[in-house]
Amino acid sequence: MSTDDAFDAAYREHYWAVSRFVARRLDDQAWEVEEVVAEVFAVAWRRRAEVPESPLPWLYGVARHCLANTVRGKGRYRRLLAKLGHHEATVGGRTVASPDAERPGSWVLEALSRLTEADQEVLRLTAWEELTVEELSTVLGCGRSAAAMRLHRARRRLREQIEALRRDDRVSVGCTSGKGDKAHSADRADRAHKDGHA
Amino acid sequence: MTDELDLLREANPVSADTGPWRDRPLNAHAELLLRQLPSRDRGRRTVRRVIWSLEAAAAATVLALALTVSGTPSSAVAASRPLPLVAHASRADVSLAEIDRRARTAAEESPGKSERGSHLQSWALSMKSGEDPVTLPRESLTRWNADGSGFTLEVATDPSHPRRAVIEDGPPPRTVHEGKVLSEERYPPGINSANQDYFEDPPAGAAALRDYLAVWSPGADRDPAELISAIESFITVWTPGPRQRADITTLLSRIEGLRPAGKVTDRLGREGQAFRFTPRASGLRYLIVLDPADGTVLDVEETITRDDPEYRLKAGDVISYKAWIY
Repeated sequence: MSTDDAFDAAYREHYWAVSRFVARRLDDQAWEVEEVVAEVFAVAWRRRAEVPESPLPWLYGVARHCLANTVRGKGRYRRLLAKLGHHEATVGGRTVASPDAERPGSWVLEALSRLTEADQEVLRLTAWEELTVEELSTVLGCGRSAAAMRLHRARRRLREQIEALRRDDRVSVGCTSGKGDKAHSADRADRAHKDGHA
Repeated sequence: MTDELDLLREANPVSADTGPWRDRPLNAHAELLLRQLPSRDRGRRTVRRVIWSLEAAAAATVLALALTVSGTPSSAVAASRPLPLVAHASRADVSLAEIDRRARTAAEESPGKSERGSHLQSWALSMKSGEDPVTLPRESLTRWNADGSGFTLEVATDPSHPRRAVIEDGPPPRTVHEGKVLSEERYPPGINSANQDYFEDPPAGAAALRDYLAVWSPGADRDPAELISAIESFITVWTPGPRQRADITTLLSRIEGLRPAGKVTDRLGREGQAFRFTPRASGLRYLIVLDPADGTVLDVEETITRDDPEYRLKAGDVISYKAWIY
């Protein structure tokens, strides 16, 4: 198979996976996602001689930088990434403060949003893009051991945030789950978090 | 109890089964894009430099990691875990504000340029399966010419004298003592995977430098831990000139929570002024050692603040360090 044929095959196989990767990191505006995806494959095309045998992690690596490039001038990328944790529209339109409530995904996103961007990305790549540690290292451009360490630390921090939310939920049993309660519980989780690391 | 990754999987905001980005054969838009790719290539060369520079971001952070964290089986030599640097506070300590002032004065007197390339000794806990988690420190020397040609040399330090330098810089550099060469690469002129990190020259001015670092290390402009990490990776690629050195001390001096620790004698026998930073919720602590005369970063050491039985680590253990050689 020629380089061009291999590229075509990779494109056809992974176009939607790359689109999802980008959509998860933007606010799901279709035209915006398509624009970035087009840029990802344009860069990949120019570098088609380097496309590895398993191209998807490599394409994700290209996509990360295209995302940063697309929006860095406006500072939008970081704002949008930060917003992911509270991105209600894509998860069903409702944020639930309680870990025991019906949509666990919503409050997990809140726990995720309290982590550093680097931790969030490692976790997203693992949970949503379903990458192995080996593939993670390709996307992050680091060694396998570094990727494993970063994932280990990020998981631990996420666990801590989840526990903080759980503790908070226990304390506020019987309370209603309105917006004010969410803010209240977030404050308390923050305090618990700070206490734990004082 | 449900694993935190399982919980996160449930929260995936974009599904592969439903919605506009679900798996399916290419639609008309995607087909059109594929057909247009070769022509896009011809029309978009002007953005190539930017793209190149951004693609280098991950590699930038991680050239250092590749040099320090990942080992090769052949390099997995029994070694003792490095002990943390010990800081002694005294009345003779120099404040970070004073170091920053000295660095600024030095920059005004001699505003030399930063040079691409670095020379450092480093160590990091290895996590490769089948490899001893404690390996020998490595020394690496990277030099680049204006045309993009250059070389990288990485040498394992002498097990009997882990603190002794094993590379003598010079034209050409050579290994000395009992250093074992782990890798030696020469690169022809042009851009390649090894020299695209921090592709553009660093700007002058603390705010400009912070923004520059944030391009490569997103978060460096708002998260102090990311900023320290970005500075660490930046000076692994570049040897800062007086101006960038002063900008770095200025950035450090603005980090809330960076505390004076006292004087230390580092692993290369140099005396420096140390500052500690413990990022919230990280379980890590940074020790940054500066030359009090001009703010040169001598060392960055990372220790953990809590036991971690999974990795057989105790609170206070070193998990990585870098000592720059100037």
